Amino acid sequence: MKVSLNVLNQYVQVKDIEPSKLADLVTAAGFEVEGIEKLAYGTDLVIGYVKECIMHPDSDHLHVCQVEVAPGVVNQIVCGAPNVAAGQKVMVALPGCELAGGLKIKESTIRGQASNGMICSLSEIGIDARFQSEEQKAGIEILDENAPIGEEALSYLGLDDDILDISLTPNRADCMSLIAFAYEVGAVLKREVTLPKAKVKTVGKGDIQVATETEKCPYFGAKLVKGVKTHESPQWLKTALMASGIKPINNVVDISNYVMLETGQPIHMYDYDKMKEKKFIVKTGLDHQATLLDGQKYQLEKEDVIVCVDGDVGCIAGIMGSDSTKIEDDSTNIVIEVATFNGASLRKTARRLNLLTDASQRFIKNAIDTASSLHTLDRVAELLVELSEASEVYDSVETGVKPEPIQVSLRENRANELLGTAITTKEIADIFDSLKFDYTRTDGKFIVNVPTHRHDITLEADLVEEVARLYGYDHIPSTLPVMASTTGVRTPVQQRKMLIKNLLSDLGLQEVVTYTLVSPAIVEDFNYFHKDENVCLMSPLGEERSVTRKSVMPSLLQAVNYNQSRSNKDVNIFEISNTYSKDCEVCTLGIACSGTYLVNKWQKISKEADFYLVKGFVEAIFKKLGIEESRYILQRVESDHPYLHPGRSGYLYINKQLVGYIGQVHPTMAKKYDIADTFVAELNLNVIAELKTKKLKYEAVPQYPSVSRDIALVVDVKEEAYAMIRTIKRASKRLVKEAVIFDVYQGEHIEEGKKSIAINLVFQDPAKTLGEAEINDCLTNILTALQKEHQAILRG
Amino acid sequence: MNELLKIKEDALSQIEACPDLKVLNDLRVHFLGKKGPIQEAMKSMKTMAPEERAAFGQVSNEVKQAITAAIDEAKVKLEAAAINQKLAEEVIDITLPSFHVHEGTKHPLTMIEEEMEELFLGMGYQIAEGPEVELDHFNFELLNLPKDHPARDMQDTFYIDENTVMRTHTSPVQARTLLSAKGKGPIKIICPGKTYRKDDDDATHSHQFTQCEGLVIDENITMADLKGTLQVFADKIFGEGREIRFRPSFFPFTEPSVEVDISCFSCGGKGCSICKQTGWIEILGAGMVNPKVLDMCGFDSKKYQGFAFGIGLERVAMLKYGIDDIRHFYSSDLRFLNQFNRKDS
Repeated sequence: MKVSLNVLNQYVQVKDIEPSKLADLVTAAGFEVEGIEKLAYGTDLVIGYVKECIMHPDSDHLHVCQVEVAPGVVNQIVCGAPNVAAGQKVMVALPGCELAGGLKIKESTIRGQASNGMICSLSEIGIDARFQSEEQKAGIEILDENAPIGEEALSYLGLDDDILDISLTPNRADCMSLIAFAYEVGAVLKREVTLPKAKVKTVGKGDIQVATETEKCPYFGAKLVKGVKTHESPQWLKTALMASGIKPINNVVDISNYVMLETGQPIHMYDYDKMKEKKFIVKTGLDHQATLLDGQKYQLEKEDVIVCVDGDVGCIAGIMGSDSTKIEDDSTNIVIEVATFNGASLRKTARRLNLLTDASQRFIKNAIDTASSLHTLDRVAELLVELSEASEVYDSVETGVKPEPIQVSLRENRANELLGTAITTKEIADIFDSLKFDYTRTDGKFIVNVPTHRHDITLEADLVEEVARLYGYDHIPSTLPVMASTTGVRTPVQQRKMLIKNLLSDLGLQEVVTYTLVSPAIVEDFNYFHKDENVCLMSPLGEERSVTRKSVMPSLLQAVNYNQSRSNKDVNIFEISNTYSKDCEVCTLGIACSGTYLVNKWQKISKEADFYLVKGFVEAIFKKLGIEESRYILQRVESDHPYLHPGRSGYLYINKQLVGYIGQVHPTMAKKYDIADTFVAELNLNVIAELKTKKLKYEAVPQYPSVSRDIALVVDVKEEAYAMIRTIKRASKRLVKEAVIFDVYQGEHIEEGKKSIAINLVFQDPAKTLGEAEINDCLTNILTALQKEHQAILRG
Repeated sequence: MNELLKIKEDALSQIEACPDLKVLNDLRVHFLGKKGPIQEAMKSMKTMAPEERAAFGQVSNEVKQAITAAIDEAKVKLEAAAINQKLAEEVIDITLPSFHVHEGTKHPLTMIEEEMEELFLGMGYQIAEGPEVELDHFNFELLNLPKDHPARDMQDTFYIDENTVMRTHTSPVQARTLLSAKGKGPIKIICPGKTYRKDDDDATHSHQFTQCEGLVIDENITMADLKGTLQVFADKIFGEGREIRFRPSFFPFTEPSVEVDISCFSCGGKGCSICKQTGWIEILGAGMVNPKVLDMCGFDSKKYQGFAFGIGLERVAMLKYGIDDIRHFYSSDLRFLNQFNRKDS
């Protein structure tokens, strides 16, 4: 919101205060000043009189002017404007003057002619082009003939204005009215506020009728004014509008805009003579096309609130009037509308028609003070009499209800209880006085009659806020809560998730955070944990981000692609994130490794990412979480699996529930995501982080020595190692403490279709030293079992 | 006898000339072994007279001892020489590159989140969590944002259906926590998490971002307590000696509401590019929990009161680490992430 200090000064004196100081004060009271600008820029700008103007001898467009810049002082100035002429009063920037954009004027010589100053256009002093006529844009600004020579030009023109750009919080939309804002400034500065009187003599009732048939228009008021003459507005009005960011049009339109600025109330005007039946009916239910005053056709819908005239659209309530009733330059008899419309309904209509105007925003943001509607009608009429020569003003007519003023009470000690302050009741009373609040005091309470424009005050806490912001938040002390002590500790699930993040990043992986919202084109990829419907946005920003992901893997593969396409082929990353389907939230961990994991080139050491690397990460997590090997099963994926390499991938099951997968990205997926061979794992942390695990407990350190034996077995290539290890452990009756595969070999000396597996066995008995015979017996049992269950033959 | 002395002389000279431990061992075996020259010479003792035999025995012992001593001495020397040689052979260039143990990284947002969590856990706060796909009821209505409330415009919400949204803030976790406490205080939580708003992504906006909410409810919690708590936060996260400034603001779920600024940690308040010459940095929004919210969430607002604050973690990370574009956090660019491979000072 742009607030002209010249306009504001009419209601509360502010011109004697430095604008930046005022800005700090109102910011501290809750009205954040985002910027201070000047309406026009120019130091040492004076009013000059062009005594003589001849063509420059060496130019076809420059003029050489003799300009009286102070009584009796004449400067020669070279001017390029086409409209400069002798006898004009103009704005002159004298040497030393600084104009908009930092342009500095110096004494100079232009094509051999001395030029001591510059005759200025409005653009040169920084007036926005949209506020200027075509003539003004094309040349210098010509002032009225009475302008006093040598006087300061900006103040003579009323352009010496500072404008505060204020960001209003949604609860204080009432301050879109300058009068409401003037009350705030008055409270901050402890100054009086002067309101415009709005005195107008009426000639009688007139024949206007009003009716509202919808609760979306709780109040509708109108006033007939006759004999209006349309012409240009006086300079002060034009300047006031420009300073507030509104383009001046003509006196009638300008008055309605000016009163809107002043009161916050949007004003609409109808041409009385264009109405057959002099009646306004506000209703809903129209659904035809209507031509509005911008000449465009708009499709109405039944819930739109319409002000009907002669059975057709007079105005789409609060948004725009119809073409058929609009006022024009030759309109003389005018009906002024001041109404209150339901903001939510109006917002829907305005959004649909793409007509979110400044006026409609005032209804939407609940900035309207319905209680002052009659005053507003009178104020418009008063200005029409004053500035548009209106000859007859009729009584206002109205329908609907104006809200009753409300009372809110504040217990005297409540502000201190809530704020932790020691504010006296005298100080509270002073604050309410400065806000011009009407209140009484009984039983240790302030009972406040809330001003009708203050829709934000309904609770005691709202009054505490009034006290706090005017008392000053800087004066609130700084303490720490005094309360029963509480324990700050992560939940076991939070601890486990943090442990996983610590572990994986310590193992050299990099954590990424990617977007939850993804494209439907990838949402099904790698989805193992969701069976429910997708969660789709009703109106996404684009298809790319329109559905919540069900797996983090597609995002991780996109991250692999992002880095690999930027010459970073080694990508080892992980992410923990929630994934969603309808009514289902699954927290998942994704790991993706591509390229090299560990390397020291000159030592020829290099660990490329592969299945076993990622499996190692998963097992490290399980080990750290205390999930024993016996609790999970890794089972090869189907041979026609779409996302994972069928020969190099497995599902992880715990208690027969699918809790994750480890594998290589299927070549068709690698192509889809445009990535090199990538090895991945994803775990369902809803299950894994909540799994009950054994308590950590001490086991006796072995007192007897262990014995180590190596065996080499020839088996079918399809035999899986882990099953063999389990067979060994089972057959050894717990004597084998460890069985470690140290070689897997296929090729020369081994029959086609077979492989050799070499295993190191460590025998240990916690109760005694094992004898040779016992070990041999045990080994025989093991080999028998391996032979029986895996057709394994001891390699000679 | 002379034979023995000759053996001794021979042995000592060979030992002295011995080049390495292996040869020395051979010499030991040769001279002192059972088939050695001394043993051989001693065979002749059988034929000697007793006196002569005793004298011969004595000399042979002396010779053995002398040879043994010489071997031991040579062994020490040769061992030292062997170690010296081994050391000389094993010299490496210690400036060659190390076996690079890749230091993984946590995401900078995780770093900030954990830093805040540690701080507030230490002050007795619990960490509360809630769903990102959230009911309108928790995201808006229980927070005093009824349908058609103009302030909902501030939120620019991703709707899933009429009653479900991508949460626009972490505040619904407050409502959920209050409801599950069934009206019984105290409550002392922080709620970090992902949040979503319908913003086009650019250098300063992201449709996905991270918030951390704080909520303390008890019988006597005041706005001064809020100020003190945020003072601790500012000092710990941005460095000791920060000043806190409250500016009046508006949030539907708090009343009174404030925007909180901290004095610039870069220039100390003198004015610089980070604080846009103001000396202050806007860091979070806060306020006293609106009594309507307490009542709607099952807490008696006549008995309980408290404060809430909400902070954007991206903003904290951007300020702390000087990051200029919010999109970096979500790019997964290793050239960005690699920079967060150590503890902040």
